[in-house]
Amino acid sequence: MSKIYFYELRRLLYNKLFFGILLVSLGFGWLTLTGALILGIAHTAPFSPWSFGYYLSRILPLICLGEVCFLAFFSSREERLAASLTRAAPVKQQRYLLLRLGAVLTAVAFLCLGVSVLAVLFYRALFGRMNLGELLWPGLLALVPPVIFCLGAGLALSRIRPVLLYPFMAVVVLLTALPLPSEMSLSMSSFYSEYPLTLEALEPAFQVPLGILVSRAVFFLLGLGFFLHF
Amino acid sequence: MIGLELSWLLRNRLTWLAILLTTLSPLAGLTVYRPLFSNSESSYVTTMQGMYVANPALAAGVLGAVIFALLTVWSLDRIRRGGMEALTHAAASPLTMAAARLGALFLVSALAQAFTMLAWLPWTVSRLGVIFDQESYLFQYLVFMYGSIPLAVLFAAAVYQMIGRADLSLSLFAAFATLSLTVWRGNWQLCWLNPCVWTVSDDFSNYRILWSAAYMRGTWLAALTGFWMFSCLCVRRYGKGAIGSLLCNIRRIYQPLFAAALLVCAVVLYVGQPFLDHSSPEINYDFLFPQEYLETVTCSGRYAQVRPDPKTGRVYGRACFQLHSTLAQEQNVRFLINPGYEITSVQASGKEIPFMVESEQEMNEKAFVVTLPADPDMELAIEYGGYPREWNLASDSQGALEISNVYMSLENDCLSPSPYDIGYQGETLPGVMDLILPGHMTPVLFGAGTTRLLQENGDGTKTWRMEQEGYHMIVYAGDYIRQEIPVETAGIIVHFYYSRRHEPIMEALDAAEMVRETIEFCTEHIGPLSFYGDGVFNLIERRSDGGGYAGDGASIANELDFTMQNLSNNAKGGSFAQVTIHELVHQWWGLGNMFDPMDMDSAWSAEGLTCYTTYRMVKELYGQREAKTSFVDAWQEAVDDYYKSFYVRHPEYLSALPEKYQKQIAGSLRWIRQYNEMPLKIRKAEELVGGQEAMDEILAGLFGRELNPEYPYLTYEEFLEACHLTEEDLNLE
Repeated sequence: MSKIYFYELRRLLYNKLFFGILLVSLGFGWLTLTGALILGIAHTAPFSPWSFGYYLSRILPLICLGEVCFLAFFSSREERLAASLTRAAPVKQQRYLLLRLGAVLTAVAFLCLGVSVLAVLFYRALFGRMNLGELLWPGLLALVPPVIFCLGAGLALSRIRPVLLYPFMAVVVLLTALPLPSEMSLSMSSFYSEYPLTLEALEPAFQVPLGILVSRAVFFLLGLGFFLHF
Repeated sequence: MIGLELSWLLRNRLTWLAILLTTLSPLAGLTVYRPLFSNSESSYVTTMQGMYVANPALAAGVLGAVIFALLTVWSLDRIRRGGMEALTHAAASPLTMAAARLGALFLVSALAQAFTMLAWLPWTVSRLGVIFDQESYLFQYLVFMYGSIPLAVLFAAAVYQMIGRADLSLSLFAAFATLSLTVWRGNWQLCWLNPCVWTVSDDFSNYRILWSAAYMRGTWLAALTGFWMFSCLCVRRYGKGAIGSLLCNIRRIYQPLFAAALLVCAVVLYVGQPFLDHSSPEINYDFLFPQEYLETVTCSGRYAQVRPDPKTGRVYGRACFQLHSTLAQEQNVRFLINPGYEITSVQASGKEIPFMVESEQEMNEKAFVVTLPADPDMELAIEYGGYPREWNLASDSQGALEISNVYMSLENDCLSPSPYDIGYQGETLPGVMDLILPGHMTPVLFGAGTTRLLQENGDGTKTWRMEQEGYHMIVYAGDYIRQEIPVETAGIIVHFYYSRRHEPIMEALDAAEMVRETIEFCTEHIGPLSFYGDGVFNLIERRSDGGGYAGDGASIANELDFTMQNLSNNAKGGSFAQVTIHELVHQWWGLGNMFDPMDMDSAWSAEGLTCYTTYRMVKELYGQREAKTSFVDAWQEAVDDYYKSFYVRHPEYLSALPEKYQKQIAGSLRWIRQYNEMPLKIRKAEELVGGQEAMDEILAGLFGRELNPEYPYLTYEEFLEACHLTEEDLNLE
């Protein structure tokens, strides 16, 4: 099984698609770091969990688009033509699908890691000290629910009709770009930039209100639900 | 071939859907996407053309580009989707097919553009009324909207041809568009999708900003056409991949050469843009103002003949200076001029003399050094000309130096060069300028001075003679009318100049009454202006750029203060014209009383007292509620933000940042201190000294104090001393 997993992963990682998205994400990340982030978000330090969460939320659309592209890669016409061969292999189709989704998630994890490492290097170069541990929770909150949602929804749509992945890309962009309430937004940029201003302290510790937690859980469960159903 | 592609596209329902959506896209500019600057925080206020032409056109540019990028990828992908590549390649060369598809997409986009402009024309005419100008409508839609669509088509087509996949092509287009809308938003040469447009004028012309946006789009067009031609090399042939096809296609050497030439052309256009100067980011007042003047050279008079060319936006002139030297040898003197101008010759008493243009540019000025001969008296004549450049610091709000058949803005060294370190021979320096303008234009001289028609020339132009003391003049020209506003209590007459187009709105707004009330208020509460010898004061409306300024005997009236929207917004009372009121108050604070311009880092400047006085005036005339909302609350909010700012609380981190970030952050913080923190402190001082009347007495005393000629500036210490307060008393934290 691990052979198939690594084979599928290699197909994704040694692909111009992956490198293109990684390059664009890193470029956009750098511009975000040197533009908006260096000023500090919501009066907090540029290296605060709030600023880091904001940074990830800005790059999230690219990561999610990348994820949907990876799904599209596995549901392309060529892949569908080759499906008759893979179906003949002595592997359960459900398990094969799981392995492919694992490869997609790993590729997305590499993207997330890439942009996170870029930010950490930037922080180290400009500000010296920083607490990596406190960036973990905002990072997970910003990335995991949207990534799982896009994976589940993308999988469901690709099973219905692969072409639906393309309108879904537009939906992903709209869910991140439109000025929606933080609970409805996929990226939650406004949560990171506005919520700290409503707290008493000037450098508030990272905290998440119940509404946001629920909304993230909903995104996560929706993604999981789509995944299990299809 | 194009005909076939076009016919296929036009038979498809998706194409018509794209055309329909593009035609509807200006709606977004009326509702959700309004990129032009708003002059008000409580509601969206910009010029009428901005509201009903520029914003819809800019929004349609963004949406149209996205729609046509989708259409492009979909249309290019259809052959592959249908598995027809082999057949079409057998029928025609893939390169010819690629060019034909692109041409057909361009024609469809032109059709969508034509439909959009025709569909929105009647509605725009009805909204703008007398302000509607068909040329402006046409150019704004073509430049702001249509400029982006071919770029999107080219990019999407090029990416698709290179990688051959619809999903990745769309993702890369999304990234390209996102870059323009976010990170490149403030960079006027990179934001291909959403050009940097600050405002457009109702009363005057907008050619410069239109040229600037068109130039930016032209640069991108060259770059993306080059990119597209390169991508044509990757059009798949003989079943090969991208690299194999590239090696096959590259045999036609003219194609990559032409593509490279276009890319080089784009780089040349990018680097050699003519609109902005190359000033360094630092504010260096020493470059403009000498510490001391030369002791060996003086000037006893100056004359200039200036001929702006309304067709090209260029200015040509000859400036003459009567110089007197006490040194019996050659010596160098320095002059400043707009960085866009070239010096064509320098003569001393009729003989050519050497000069050298310095490479450094600062604060929208460049310097050139002239080697004067060893004569005791000479007439130095400088011939110059060129396209004036604006300060790169204001790259996202271009358009101020407009020179057209409708309006001209000729300010200081854009008009003629000035000596840097040559003092006057006498107390003052007589200055004369002959300005040649199209016959229908009226010049307005900013500040004290005279203007008269010297002669009518045979070519339909008129020569106007202007006289004003000093090295500098500021002239605005257009179809101006003059309204005289006598202010009896102040003993002055205000000459209010504004565009003839704006006459009905000015009358409806009763702008003259607002001007009179402002001057009466300041005269009563601060003191009379004593430096207008002839009792005349000019208030001049100029092309909107979001701000204004004041000078000796004149202030600027902001076009954005007097819009039709302000007229319809009764709730704002008369306080809509806050920028104009602010500039009028500067006649007292900043001109009547001066502040040290070299004291760059201090929060104390003319702005503090000017903002405070504007607040007081609005409070008295329009009520406590209006004053609190528009001023005190806004100041407090800005100051609260300032004190909470991470770098204010942790200056050690600011000093650790790279220099360019330090300057950017420090500059924005200083602005908050001068315009928000200081007025709040003065308001606190008002409470501590016993109220408004007591503060009026103090301010009147400071305004009328005896000046020290060596340092005539009003300092913060003098203000505190007059209030019997200390710096700590006014702390806001």
